[in-house]
Amino acid sequence: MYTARRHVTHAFIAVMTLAAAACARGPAGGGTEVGVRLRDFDIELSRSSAPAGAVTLDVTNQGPSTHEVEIFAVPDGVDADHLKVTAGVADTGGLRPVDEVEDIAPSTNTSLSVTLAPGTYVLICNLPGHYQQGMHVTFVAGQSSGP
Amino acid sequence: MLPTFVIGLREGLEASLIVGIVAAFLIQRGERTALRWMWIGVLSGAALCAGAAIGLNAVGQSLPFRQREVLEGSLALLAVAGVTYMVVWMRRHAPELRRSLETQAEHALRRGSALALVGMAFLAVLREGVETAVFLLAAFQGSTDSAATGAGAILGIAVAIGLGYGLYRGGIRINLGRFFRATGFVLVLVAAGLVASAVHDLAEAGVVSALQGRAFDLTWLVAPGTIRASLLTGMLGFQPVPTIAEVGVWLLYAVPMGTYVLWPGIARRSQPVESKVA
Repeated sequence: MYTARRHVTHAFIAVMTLAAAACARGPAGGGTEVGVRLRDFDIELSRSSAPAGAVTLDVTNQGPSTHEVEIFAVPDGVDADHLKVTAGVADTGGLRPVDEVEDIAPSTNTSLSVTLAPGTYVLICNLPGHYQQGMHVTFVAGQSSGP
Repeated sequence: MLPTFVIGLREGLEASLIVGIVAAFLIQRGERTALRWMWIGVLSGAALCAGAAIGLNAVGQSLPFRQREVLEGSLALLAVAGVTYMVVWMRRHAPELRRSLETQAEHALRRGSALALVGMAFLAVLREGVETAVFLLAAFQGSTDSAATGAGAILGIAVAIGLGYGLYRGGIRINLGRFFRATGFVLVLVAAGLVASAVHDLAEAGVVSALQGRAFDLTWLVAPGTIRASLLTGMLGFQPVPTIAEVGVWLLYAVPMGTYVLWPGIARRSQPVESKVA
């Protein structure tokens, strides 16, 4: 059907444009790789710091629960390991959201690319009860090694 | 398999519910042409999301977080507008109204609104579609047990599509106008959930920062990882631990609109034929 084909063509062009736009926007896939291992109930990083700039988080959820990873920049004076918890959820209002990936099923692996300015960050799984059981870890993006 | 099943179910429901509602509404109004455009739009939207997810995966990118959340929140608000329109239209035009008695102006207005609803169904697919496609990809590619994980995800989405289709079939048989109070009330709940979801998304993007304290603990009702939670979150937008802002806007929408729907005797345009306005 002609009209259907025209629509599919438009959709295809839109998809390519979208993909291209996403390429232009996001941080370069690459940079320093940091392994993130999620478990019931902790988060373990393969390294506790990295040069500022492009960082790729290679996230694996060993389960058995579904988890998420939220990255926040931690302003000075805030203790991200002792956030106030209400109804099992940590209050992240004083933190600055950087990025997140939700719905990481057990036994799956996913990747998140971010660009980090120098500073302190915290990775949290903020599903009910998970933060207070230990799913938070801080991370430092150091001065990038430049010229 | 259950973990990816419940995720797929929830994500799928958020789109299939809107599509099912719009489809039933269009058929009830006899707008078959618009309905065909809707199916084309929905399939195009799904293809677009799949393509975007594959494209992003190929280049190792993810969608920029803040823009994604702002987009999702905005699309949720558009969906609220569309559902509200349907509720109000149903309230004012009982089933007794015959199409042939409409004026030209009304007919044109209906055509325009039908296309708007078609657009809304398309956007509903887009809203959660890319994230769902990314999730699907991860389930197949990134899993140590991809057969079970992937199968669970596909099954969840398939059940969601099935439920949306069942809603459509049930909707066209029920005669939305006649059972308006019941169906209208359900639509109000769906729209209220969408308003709360919009606030949720905008808060994640940092656009909304007020009233982010937690209102209460609904995990007894919406226990993360359960099928019931998928149904309640996917269809009614219920979160396990909603913020005050989310609860507030939910009430702000649900109470007036629910009253409008349930209150008997609010002025209705539709009484039998003689009320037809030129």
